[in-house]
Amino acid sequence: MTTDATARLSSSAAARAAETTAEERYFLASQWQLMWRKFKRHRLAVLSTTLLAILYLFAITYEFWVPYGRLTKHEDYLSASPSSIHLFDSEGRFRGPFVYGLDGEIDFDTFTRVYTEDPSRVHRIRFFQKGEPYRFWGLFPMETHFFLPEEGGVIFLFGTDSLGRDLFTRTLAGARVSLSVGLVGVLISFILGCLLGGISGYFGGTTDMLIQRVIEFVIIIPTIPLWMALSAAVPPGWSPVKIYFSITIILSIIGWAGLARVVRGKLLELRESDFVIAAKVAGSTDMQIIVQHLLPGFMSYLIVHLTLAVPNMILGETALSFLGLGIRAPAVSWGTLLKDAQNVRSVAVQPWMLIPGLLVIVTVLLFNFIGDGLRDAADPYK
Amino acid sequence: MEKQEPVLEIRDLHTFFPLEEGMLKAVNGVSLTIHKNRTLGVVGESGCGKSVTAQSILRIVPDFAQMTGEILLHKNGEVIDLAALAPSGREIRDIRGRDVSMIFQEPMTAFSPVHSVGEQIMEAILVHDDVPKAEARAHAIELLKLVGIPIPEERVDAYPHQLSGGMRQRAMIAMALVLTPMLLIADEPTTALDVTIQAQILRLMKTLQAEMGMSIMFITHDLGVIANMADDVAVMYLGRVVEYGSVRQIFRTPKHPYTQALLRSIPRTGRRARVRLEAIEGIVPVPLDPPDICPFADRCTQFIPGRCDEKVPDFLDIASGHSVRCILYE
Amino acid sequence: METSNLLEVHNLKKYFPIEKGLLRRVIGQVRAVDDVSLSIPAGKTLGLVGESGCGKTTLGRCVVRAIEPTEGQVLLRIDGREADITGLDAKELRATRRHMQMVFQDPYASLDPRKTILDIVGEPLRVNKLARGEDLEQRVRQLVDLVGLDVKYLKRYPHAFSGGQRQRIGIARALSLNPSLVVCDEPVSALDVSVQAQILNLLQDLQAEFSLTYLFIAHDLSVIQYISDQVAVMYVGKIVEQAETEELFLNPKHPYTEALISAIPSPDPDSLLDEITLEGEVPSPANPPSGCYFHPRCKYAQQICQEEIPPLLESGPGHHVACHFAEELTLQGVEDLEEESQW
Repeated sequence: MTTDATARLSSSAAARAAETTAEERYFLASQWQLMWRKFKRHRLAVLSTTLLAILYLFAITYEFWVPYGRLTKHEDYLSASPSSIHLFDSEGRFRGPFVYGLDGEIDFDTFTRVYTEDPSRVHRIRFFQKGEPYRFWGLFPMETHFFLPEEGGVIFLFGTDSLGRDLFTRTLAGARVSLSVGLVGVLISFILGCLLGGISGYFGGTTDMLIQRVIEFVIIIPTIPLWMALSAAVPPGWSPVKIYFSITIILSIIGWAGLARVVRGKLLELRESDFVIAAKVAGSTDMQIIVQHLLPGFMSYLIVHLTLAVPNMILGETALSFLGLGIRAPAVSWGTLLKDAQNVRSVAVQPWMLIPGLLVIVTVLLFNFIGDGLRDAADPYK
Repeated sequence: MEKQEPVLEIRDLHTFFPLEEGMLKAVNGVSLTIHKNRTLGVVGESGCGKSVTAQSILRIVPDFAQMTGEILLHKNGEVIDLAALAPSGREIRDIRGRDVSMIFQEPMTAFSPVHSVGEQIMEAILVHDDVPKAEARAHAIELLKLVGIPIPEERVDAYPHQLSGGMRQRAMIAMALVLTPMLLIADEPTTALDVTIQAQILRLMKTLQAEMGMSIMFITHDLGVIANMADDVAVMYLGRVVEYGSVRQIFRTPKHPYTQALLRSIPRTGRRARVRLEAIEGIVPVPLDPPDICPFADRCTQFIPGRCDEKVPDFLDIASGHSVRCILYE
Repeated sequence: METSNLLEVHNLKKYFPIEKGLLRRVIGQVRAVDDVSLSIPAGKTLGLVGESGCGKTTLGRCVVRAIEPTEGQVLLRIDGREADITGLDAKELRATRRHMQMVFQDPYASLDPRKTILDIVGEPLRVNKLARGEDLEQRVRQLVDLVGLDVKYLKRYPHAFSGGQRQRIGIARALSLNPSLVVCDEPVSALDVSVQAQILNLLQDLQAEFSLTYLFIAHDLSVIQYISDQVAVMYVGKIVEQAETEELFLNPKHPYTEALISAIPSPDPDSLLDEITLEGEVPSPANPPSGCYFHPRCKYAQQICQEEIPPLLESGPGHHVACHFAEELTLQGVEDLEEESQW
C-alpha cells in the first residue's frame, strides 16, 4: 500500500529500487532465514561453527588422517616428545617437510628417556602414503594414510605416551568417542526432554505436577556422585560399545531434566498466545496446533539449549573417564587420555600428555560461542 | 497573553540512531519552548519522536545515538545547554531529579522491585540533600499524601508490586516531585491506566502544578488527554514538529492537514455518530532514512506533486503563537 | 425481537480457581465472569465496555469457547436453528466453530510469525478441509483483497507488516469461514490513532456486506459509542447496565456508567473533565466487596448497597440496570448529541 507511495516520493528511484528488493527479501524471509541472518552477524559464532565442523570432520574420518593405529606401540620411542618438523636441513638446503631420526638415551638425572635428533638422518614426510593397514570405520580395509615419514622415520605430532603410542593418533581417536558421546547423549535427552516436558506442559494438572517434582528431584542430586554410582554399576566385562552406550545414557539421565523444563515453559507460554487461540477458534485439532504452531515455535529455543548441553555431556564423559568410571581401555576417549596424565610427574616431564585436555577446553568454548550466537538468533522477531 | 518566561528551549534538536538497516532519524530538527508554569502537550503517533525528544532532554538516550542541537535550561537566570553536557556526568545528574524529572508510562520500570517505595523516595531525597533519615522518611510520607495515596504511613513501606497501577503511578509522581523540579516530563503517564484512574491522575497533576508552580511537558498519543491537560500543543510526525500553537488554536483552528485529519478521524462521545470516520489512509511510517520532503506527503489528501515532495516545508508563523509546517501556508 | 437474536448468553459464569501449596488446594475463586446474560440481534453490534480486569475479554473468549465456561449457556442461531455452544463435544464444536470467529487485540501476538499471510489467512479453510491448493490460494487472495491489502503480499511473513495491516490480516482470517458472529476483542486499542479509524471503517463495511453480528469488546467509550447499536457495561464480572447506545450515553442509569462517561477526556479544550471523577480502584474479582460491587466507589451508595447485590432489571424499554436506585437517581450522561462542528 504505502510502499508504492514511498517509491513515488523517492528522490533517487534506482537507489530505492535496490533497497526495495533487499527489503522484499526480508519480508519474504522465513523464521530460519531470519535466524540465519542474525546468526551470521555473530562473527565469533560463525567462526566457531566452522572450526567445530572441521573438528568433527577429523573425528569422523580420523583413521585416514593419522599415521598409526591408536593401539600401535612404538617400543623404541616411549614418552617421546612431539616431533619437530623441519623444512631446511642442517646445511640450510630446502628439503620440504621432514623429520630427523631420533636417538634415545636415558637421562640419569631424571631417569627418563631423552630423544635427540640425528641431523644425518632425514626422513621426508610423504602424503597419501601406504602404511599400517587399518579398517576405516571398522569396516573397510585400507592402507592409505594422509601423511607418513619415509621408511625408517617416525612422526609423533603430539608425542607418545609411556607405552610408546602416538598421542596425535590417540587424540583424534578419542575425539570420535568424546564428541559423539555429546551428540548421542543430547539426542537421548532431547527425546526424553521433549516427551516429558511436552506431556507436562500440554496436559497440565496432576501429570504436570508429578513430572515437575521428578525433574526437581533429578536436578537436586549432585551430578558427579550419581554418575559415579551409576557407572560403577556398569559390569566391567561389557564390550567397549556397550559401555559407550551405557555412559551416554547415564549422562542423559541428568541432561533431560533441564530440557524438559525449557520445553514445558515454552509450551505453556505459546499455548496461551493469541495465535494459538486463533487456531483453536478456527477449528484446529490439538494435534494440528502442536505440529503447526507449537513445535516450530519452540524448536529454535530447543536448539539453543541443546547446543549448550553438548559441552556438559563432553565434560561429563571426560570427568567419568578421568576417574576411571567411564570409557575404559582399550577404548580411547579424551577422558581416558587425560587419565594417563593424572600424576604430577607426567605433567612436569611429559606436558604433551595434556594436549587432549586443551582440546576439551577448545571444544567446550566453541560450543558455548555457537550457543551464544544461536541464543541471539533464536527469536528473530524481537 | 501575559509575558511568558521560558524554562526550557529546544533548538534544532536532531537525535539519530545509526542502525544496520539505515539511519533512524527519530528526532529530525525539533525546536520547542516550554514556558514557566505552563503545560506543553506533545502529541503524535508511534515513531513520531515524541519520547526520544523527552529522553534527549534528560540525556537518557542510548549511547550510540547521535545528538546535535541545543537544549537550553533556564535556571535562576543562568542558561545551561543540556545537549553539551557529558551524558553521564555530574552536572546532568544534578539536573535530573532536581530541576527536571520524568515520569513514565510503566511505573514498574521506574522503581526497583527489591526496595520499598518509601526507601526509593527517601534515597532520591538523600542523594541531593543531606538530611537525617527520619526527616527524609517524614518527607516521603508527606509526598505520598500529597499525591493522594491513602494511609501513606503504611504505604511508605510497601513494595512497588504491592501497589495497584494507579497507586504506582501516584508513587512515581511523588518520587519525581521530591525536589520540586521546575520541569516535569510526563511520557504517556496515563496510557496504561483505566479511564477512571486516568481522570484521577490527570486531575492530580493539574492540582500539583497549580500548587508547586512547575512546568510540564506532557507526551501522549491521546488527543482527548492533550485537550484537557495542555496549554500549548506541539503535533509531531516522523521526527518533526508539524504544528505548534495554543491548545485552542490546535483544536479549534487546526492548520496542518495531519492535525486536521487526526482530529476528524477519532470517534468522539457526545457527538452524533457519523456513518463513517474519515480515516487517514496509509500506515504510520518509520523514520528510517526518511526522504527530505514533507513528512506527511505520502498520506496527505492535499498532496501537491512537485511541491510537497520537493523539500521539507518551512515552519512558518501563521498567527500569534501558531506555527505550521506545510506548503499550503508558504 | 426475541426470535431474531443471533446470540444469546444465559447466566454465563467463568470462575478461575485460586490454588495454593504443593497439593494445589483450591482456596478461592476468581469470578472473572459472574452470571452474565446478554443477547445480540442478528446483524447488530453489541459493545461490551469496562475497565481492565472486569472480565470482558474472558466473556468474549467463553462465548466462542476459546476457554471453557464454568457454567451457563451460549446459544447461537445457525441456519435458523439454535445451537447450544456450551453443550457441544469436541468434534461438534470444531464443526460449529466456523460460525463464530474472533479478532484479537494484539496484532503482533495474534499472527504466528513463522507463517506466511497465505498460511495464516488460509489456516481456517485448510483445517476445516474447505479448500486446498489453487482453490485455497484463490480464496485467500479474495479475502486479502477484501480487507484492503495488496494480494501480492501473500507470500510475505507478518514481520513485513505494520500494526494496522496485521489487524487487517487478522480480520481476513476471521472472515475466511464466513462466520455469522465475530467477537472483536479490543481490535483497535493497540493501534495508532490515525489507523484506528481505518480498521473501524473496515469492520463496519464488512458488517454491512456480510451482515455480520459483532460482539465488540473495548475499554474506549468513544469507540464503543461509534460502533455499537447496543452497549453493555461490565464491572467486576457482572453487567451493570445495558441499553441502546444513544439511550445509554444520554440517560445512563447506573452511577458507574455515569462516572465512566464523565471520565473520558474529550478532544475539546473547552469541555474539561467533569467533576465526577471516580475515587478508588476496581476491586479484585477474587475478593469483591459485599452487596453491590460498586458501592465503595459510589457516591450515591446507601445502607442497602452494602448488603444486597442488585439484580439486573429492565427499567425502561430495552434498558437494563443493576442498581437499587436506578429509578430514583437522575444521572448525567453526555450533554447532548450535537452535530459535527467543522472548522
